[in-house]
Amino acid sequence: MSRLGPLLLALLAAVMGSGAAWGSPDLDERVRAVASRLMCPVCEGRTVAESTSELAAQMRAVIRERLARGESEEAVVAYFVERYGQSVLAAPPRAGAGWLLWLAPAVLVGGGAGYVVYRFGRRSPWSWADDGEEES
Amino acid sequence: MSELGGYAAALALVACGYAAAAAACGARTGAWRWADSGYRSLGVAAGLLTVSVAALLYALVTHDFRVAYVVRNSSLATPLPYRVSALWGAQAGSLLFWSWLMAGVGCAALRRQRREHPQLAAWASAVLATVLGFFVFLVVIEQPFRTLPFAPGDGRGLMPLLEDPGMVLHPPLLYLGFVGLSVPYSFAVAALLTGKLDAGWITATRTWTVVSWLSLGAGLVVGGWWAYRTLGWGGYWGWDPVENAALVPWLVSTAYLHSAVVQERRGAFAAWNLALVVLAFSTAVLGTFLTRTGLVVSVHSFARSEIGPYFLGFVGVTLAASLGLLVWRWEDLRGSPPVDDLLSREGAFLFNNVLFLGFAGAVLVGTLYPLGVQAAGGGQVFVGPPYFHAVAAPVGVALLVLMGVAVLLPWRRAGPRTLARFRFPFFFALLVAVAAGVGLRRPGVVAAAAAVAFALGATLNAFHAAGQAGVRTGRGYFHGLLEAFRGQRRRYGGYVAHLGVLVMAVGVVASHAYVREREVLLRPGQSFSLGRYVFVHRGLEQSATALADVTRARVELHEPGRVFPLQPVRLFYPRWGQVVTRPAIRSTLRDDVYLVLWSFQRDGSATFRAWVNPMVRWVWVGALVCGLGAVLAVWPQKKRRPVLLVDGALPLATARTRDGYPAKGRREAAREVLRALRGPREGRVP
Repeated sequence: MSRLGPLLLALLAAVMGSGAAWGSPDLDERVRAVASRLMCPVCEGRTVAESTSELAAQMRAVIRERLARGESEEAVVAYFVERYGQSVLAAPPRAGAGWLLWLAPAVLVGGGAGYVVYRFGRRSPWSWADDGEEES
Repeated sequence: MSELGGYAAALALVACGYAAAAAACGARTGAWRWADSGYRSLGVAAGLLTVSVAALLYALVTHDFRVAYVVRNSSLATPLPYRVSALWGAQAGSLLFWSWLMAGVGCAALRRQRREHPQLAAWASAVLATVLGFFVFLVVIEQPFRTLPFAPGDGRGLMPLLEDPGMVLHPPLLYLGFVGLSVPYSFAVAALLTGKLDAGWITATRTWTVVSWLSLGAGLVVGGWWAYRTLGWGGYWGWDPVENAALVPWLVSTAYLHSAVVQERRGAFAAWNLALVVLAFSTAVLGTFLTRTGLVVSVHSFARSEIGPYFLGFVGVTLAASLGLLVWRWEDLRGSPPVDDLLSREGAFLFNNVLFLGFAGAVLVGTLYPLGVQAAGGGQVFVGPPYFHAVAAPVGVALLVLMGVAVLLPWRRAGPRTLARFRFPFFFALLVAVAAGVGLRRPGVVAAAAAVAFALGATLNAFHAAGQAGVRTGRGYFHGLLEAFRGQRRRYGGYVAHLGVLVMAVGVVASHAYVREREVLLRPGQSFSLGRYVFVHRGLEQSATALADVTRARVELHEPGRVFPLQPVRLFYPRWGQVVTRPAIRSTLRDDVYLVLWSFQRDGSATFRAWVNPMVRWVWVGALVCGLGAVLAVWPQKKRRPVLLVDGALPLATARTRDGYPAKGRREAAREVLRALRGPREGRVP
């Protein structure tokens, strides 16, 4: 393993390095990102990105125009919230009662994993004799 | 004929009531004649429901427009297959169809178990009859056979969107899935009632568990496929509440399917499995309740009705009764043998359950959150894709990694030798991560790619080991693989299903992360480009069918070196005031080109919306492989007759050579048995 160590480090460095090279997404992608954060106000249960309604098409055009003008994604979302109210958001904001929703997955998975580790996690020291039965 | 159907349904309700009472009485007192009578009247109910379903089918097929249901869901122009599928196209009919399926599945499941586990089966028939009785009660309330005072000359027709092969298949598959879950549920409740908490009930219902898991999954995939081909928004999964309602029980039963293996193999998790089955059925009922009462805002707005309060009561009683039983038996359940060590396959299965249930819980919370906010007086909120993507992405990656880890770990406890097996998958994953890091731009995608690579490496490692075992015995690599499938079909079938999941994962990640779309207005002759494709608008064609005005756009798709015609269609149904867009899709393994005719003007100019969805086809192919693997794993095996049963030794037919390879000839097998006999434990011939 000692010879593999430096190789591993080099690979990790390469991953990190390539991470720095990731560019910013282009306009199409940003429009899509904003549109999928907004609910189409006239159709039931579809986001602006998915909706096939006329209004949603207009909203996508507005999003494109504003993003092209240099507004941030947050600002565009805020603009629509101002016009249509909170119910235009495709997911509640991470604030106040919204945390009940946003923290639920972490609590459920984290709590479950924590319980499993707490209940079954103690193990006796390893020995070379270990190696459970194979198969079937 | 239609009156007959109504009477049959009402009588079926009576039969269910009698069946429940008689079976429960028989099970309590041990008077098997009563239990038999209960079982038989469940059969009577099934027969009566068959009559009822046949009556409604007959009315639909023969255009009996006195019946309101026929008028609302079919017309003279509806082709025969869709007249048949109209049976489950709307509320009243689908409830009838559902009850009929449940009666049939219940009788089929009880038929064999009645002899093998009489007491368990008696309680199970009481539970099944009660649940069935509730659904038949809903049928009676919904009145699928209600007649109109006069018969109109023609019906309104099936909703145009539903006239699609996908929609013929999607609902029955989901119903079969939901209904199938009632079998393990009723046996689990029976196990709790009788106190027979060994794995007997699991083996008794294993087939139905897998059948319902498979058909729920298939129903979800077919639903996605239908949405992709007909709804024209470029995607196949929208995290709609009704989709979630079917996804949650599927996730829970996936967890159960895995942990049931541990109970059968190691005797652990008995209480846990009971709880999982109860949970799977309860979430299925809860999902149906949400779907059927229009309580949540959804695109599936086909069913709004007055059955809500009854349904809520039923959900409440189911949950309370099942939980009560679990608590009542808690002391007996606690005693199941613990897991020795977390670093073992049992441990991996535990984490599998944590992830699947956590995922299911998170989806459920997201689906119910808007209701909670409304109840608290907070107005309307949505919980849509942003939340669900934020949940699904990390949980999905964790599940993929775990899939690899679980395959590599041995039962009981891992030692250094098994940990060495992690090397190949780990370095493979690292390699893919580096390559992905260079080529792709998103950290999330790189993580997913590495996870897929790890799980792939681990799974291939398992196949490779089987092949090498074949080489060692001198029969060859391929023969070793074949033997692995023959000898341990459940395990290797499961691995094939895993490979399917990996293929799906690639498709899901690629199509979500790298989708590109554009909307353009084009006059005939104009073109636009998207990615490596160029679209040329060549004009519109108008035509009309009996039901719809059809506008078809002729578009040329130019890709390097080739031209491909695309014809997106827009249909307007005047009778429904509904517009249906049929996207033109050109699908390859590399990507899907997806073109929708959005709107058009008289001069032939049209607005198009085009998507390039990478690797969507992988999703369908992967789902198919996954399903095949699951079928391979559970296809009933011919029972092997044990030649010689010796304590401490293996039966001849399953004897293995030292390296774990199934012993071939009788002589070799006999030698293995003898070797086992001479082993550390004294063998005794019973």
